[in-house]
Amino acid sequence: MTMHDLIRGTDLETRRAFLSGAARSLLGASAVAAFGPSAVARALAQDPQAPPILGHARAKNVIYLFLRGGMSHIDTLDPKPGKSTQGPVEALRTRADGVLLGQYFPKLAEQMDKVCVVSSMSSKQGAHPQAQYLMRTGYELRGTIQHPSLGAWCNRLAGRHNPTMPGHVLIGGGADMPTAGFFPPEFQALPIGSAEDGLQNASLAKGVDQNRFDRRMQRLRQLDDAFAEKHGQRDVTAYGKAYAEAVKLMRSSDLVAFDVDLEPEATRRAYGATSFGTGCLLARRLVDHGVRYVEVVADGFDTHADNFDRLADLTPSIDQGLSCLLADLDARGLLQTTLVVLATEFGRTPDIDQDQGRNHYPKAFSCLLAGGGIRGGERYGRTDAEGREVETDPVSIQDLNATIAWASGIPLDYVVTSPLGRPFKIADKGNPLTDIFS
Amino acid sequence: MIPRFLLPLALTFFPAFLVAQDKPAPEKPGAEKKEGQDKKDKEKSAAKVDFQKEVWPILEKRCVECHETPHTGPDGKMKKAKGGVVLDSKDGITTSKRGKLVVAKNAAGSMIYESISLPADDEDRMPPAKKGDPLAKEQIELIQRWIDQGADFGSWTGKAKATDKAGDKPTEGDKPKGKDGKESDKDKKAKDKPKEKENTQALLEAGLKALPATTLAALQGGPFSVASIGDNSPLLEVTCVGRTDDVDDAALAALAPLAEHVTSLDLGHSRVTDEACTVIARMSRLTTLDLRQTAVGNHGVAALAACSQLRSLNLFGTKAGDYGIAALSSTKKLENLYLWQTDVSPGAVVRLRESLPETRIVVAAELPEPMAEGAGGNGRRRGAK
Repeated sequence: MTMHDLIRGTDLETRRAFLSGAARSLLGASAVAAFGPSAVARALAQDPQAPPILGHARAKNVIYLFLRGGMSHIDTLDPKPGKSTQGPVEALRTRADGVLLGQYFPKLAEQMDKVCVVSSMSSKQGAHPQAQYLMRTGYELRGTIQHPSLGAWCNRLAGRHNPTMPGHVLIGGGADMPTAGFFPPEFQALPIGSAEDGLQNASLAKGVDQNRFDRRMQRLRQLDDAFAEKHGQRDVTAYGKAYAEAVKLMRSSDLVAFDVDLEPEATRRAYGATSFGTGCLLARRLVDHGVRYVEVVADGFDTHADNFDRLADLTPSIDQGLSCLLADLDARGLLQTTLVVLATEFGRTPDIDQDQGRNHYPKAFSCLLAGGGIRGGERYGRTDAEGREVETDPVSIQDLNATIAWASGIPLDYVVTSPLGRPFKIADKGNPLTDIFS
Repeated sequence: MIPRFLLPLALTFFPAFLVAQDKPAPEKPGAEKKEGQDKKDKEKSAAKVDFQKEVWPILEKRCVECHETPHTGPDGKMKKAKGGVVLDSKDGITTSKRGKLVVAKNAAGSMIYESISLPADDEDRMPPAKKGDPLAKEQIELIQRWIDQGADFGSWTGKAKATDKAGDKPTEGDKPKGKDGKESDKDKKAKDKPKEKENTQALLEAGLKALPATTLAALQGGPFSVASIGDNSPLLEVTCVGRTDDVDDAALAALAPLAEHVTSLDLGHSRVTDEACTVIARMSRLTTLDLRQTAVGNHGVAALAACSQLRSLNLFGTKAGDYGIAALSSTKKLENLYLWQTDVSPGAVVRLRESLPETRIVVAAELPEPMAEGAGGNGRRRGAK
C-alpha cells in the first residue's frame, strides 16, 4: 500500500469522534447541556408566540444528511454524459424516467421514484466554513452573531414531538457546527459523536443504584438551587434544566432509540457497516421515537486531487446508507411524514484539473429531497449541457431551507428578534419549492 | 438468525412482494409557465371600476407591504409607511403629505399613476425594482381608468384591522410570495394541488363543530397530545409520542369523547391491543391510523373495517394476519397499507389487492443488498468484519 492510499483511507469520522468523545468525557458538560428544557419549561421550548403549524404540513420529521467538503455535482446527482466535463464517470439510468445519476449510486438509482433531485442550487459562497454555515443557518457567517441552525428553528417554531427526547440530534458533526445560535440554550442539538456508540454515559455508574443516584441528584439540586437563586442567569437555569432532562431521558423507555445494536444484523448490513450508514440507521430510530430534526454529517468530499478515486471510496457508504434509509422508512410507513434531505455546501468545478481534481464551485450544485410529501421521480431545475451554469429554476440555499420549513408547516414570515434587536426568519428571504410536493 | 449465506437469497425475495408503484411520468417543472394573472381585468374595459373588488387587491398585493398605516410589527417594532405614503386606507390615499396621490378624473396628474407607469428601469418606479417587476400593463390601465372615472372608493374606507397585524394568525394570503413580491406560479400551483386533500378535509369537517375546550382540557396531563390538524379545523390529530408506555387499552377510553373528531391517530410503539380497536372503530372520520409495532392482531384489524374514511393504515410489526386484513376489503378509500413484518401471507395480499386495486400495499422493505466487502474505505464501522 502506498502512502497515497493510506491517506485516502484515513477514517476522518473515527478520528473526530475520538476527539469530540474525549472532549465530552473530560469536559463533562457539553453533552448534558444539550438536552433542552425541563418539563416545566417545556412550554418555552416552542416559542409561545409562534403561530400554529399551517394545515399543509406533511413532514413531521426531517433527516438532513450533510456531506461536508462540497460534493461534485457532475459526478453524482447531475451527470452530463458525453460532455467534456464529465470525465471518466458513467451515467446511470434510474427508476425515475429521465433522471440520471453518476455511476457511484447504483442503489440510490433503485429508490429514485421517491427522490426529487434539485440540480439548480446556486450560491456565491465558495469557502467551506462560510458555505457550510450558510447551508445550515440560511445566513452569512458574521463575527458579531451566531445564527441558529435550521434544526433549532424547526424546534423553536414547531416544538418537539417527544417531550422526553431532544428535538434536534446532530450525528457525527463537530463542535464547530452552530446549532442554537442566539436562541436560548435549550435549542442546542444533542451531539452524538459516533452513531455506533450512541448516547454515552446514559446508564447508572457501576455500584450506584437508583436510590443512591436519586440522593446524589437531590444533593446536587440543593447545591445548585442556592447558586441559581443568587445568579439566576439564562445559562445557569438552562444548565439545571439540562440535568433534569438528562435524568428523565435516562429513565425513559425511549432511551433505546439511541442504541443501534438492538437492530438485527441483517438491517445493520443493509445500512452498511460505515459511520454514515450507521448514522442513517440511528436517524431512523430517532425519528421513529419522535425526534423532529436529525442531522447526519459525513466528511471528505473536498476532492481537490484524485477526485474520481476519492469519490469511488466516499460514495458507496452514502449510496448504501441513503438508499437503505429511504427503503426502510418507506416500508415502515414513516417516509410519508419524514423529509429526507441530502445536502452539501457547494459543487465542484466542471473542468478537471491536472491533479484529476475538481475545485470549489458554488455557482451550480445539487441536493436531493425525498419523503415528507415530495412527489419524487423527478429533477427540479437544470444546469447547462456541461454543468457550468444554472439554466432554469435557480434555487438558493435559503430556498432549500424554506422548502424544508414549508414541508414542516412552519410559517416562513414569522420573525424572531435576536438579543440585539435584529429581525430574523427561518429561511431569511427564501421561497419554498412548493411544486415538488404531491 | 438467518445464516449469512442465505441472506442474499432472502433479500431477493422481497421485491417480489413489493408493489412498485408506477408513478406517472414526471411533469417537467416549469412546463406550465406564466399565465397572465389578470385575465379578468381584460374583459372589463369600459365598465365602471369597482375599487374594493378590482383596485384594492392590486394595492394590497403589491403596495401595502411598504405603504401600510404605521403599526407595530410582529417583532414588536414600529413599522412606518415608506415615504409617508399610506395606501391601505381611503384617508391615506386622498390626503397625503407627499402630494396628490390621486386626482379624480386626472390620472396623468395623480402621483400614484405616475409612479406605477414609469419605465421599468426608472429608479422612482413603484413598486421598486428590488420588490419585483412593475405592475402588469392591465393593472396599470385599470388604476388609470379608476382615477379617470372619478376615483370612487365606493363603501371602502380602509383595510380592516390594519393596525393589529401582529396577533393575526397567518392565512393563505400571508404565505410567502414569489421572489418578485407577487404570487408566483409556484404558489398558485401549490394552492391547487392539495385540493383533493382539502376536499376530503372539507367533507369530513362538514357539520362538525369544534369540541368544547373543556373536553380537550380533560385530556391534559394524560398521555395523549391532541391538536387541531391546523388552520382552526375541528378535526384532531392525536399522538402519544414520548408516553407510549402509558397508553394501553384502558387509556384509550379517554379518547371516546373525541371519537367523532379524530382524523389522525398515532399509537405506534404503544401497549394497545385488539381491545383498543373497538374505540378506534368508532372514529368515523379517521383517515390516518398508525399502529406500528403494537400487539394489535386479527380481531383488532378486522374491527377497523368500520373506519370507512381510512386513507393510511400502518400495521408494520403488528400481529395482523390473513383473517384481519381480509376484512379491510371494504375500506375502499385506503391509499396506503403497511404490512411489513406481520403474519400476513402473500396469498392474502393478492386477494386483498383484488378488492383494493388502487391501494398501495407494502409487504416488505426493498432494502439494498449489503455492501461488497472492501467497498467504501472511508468510515467503515469499527470492529466490523
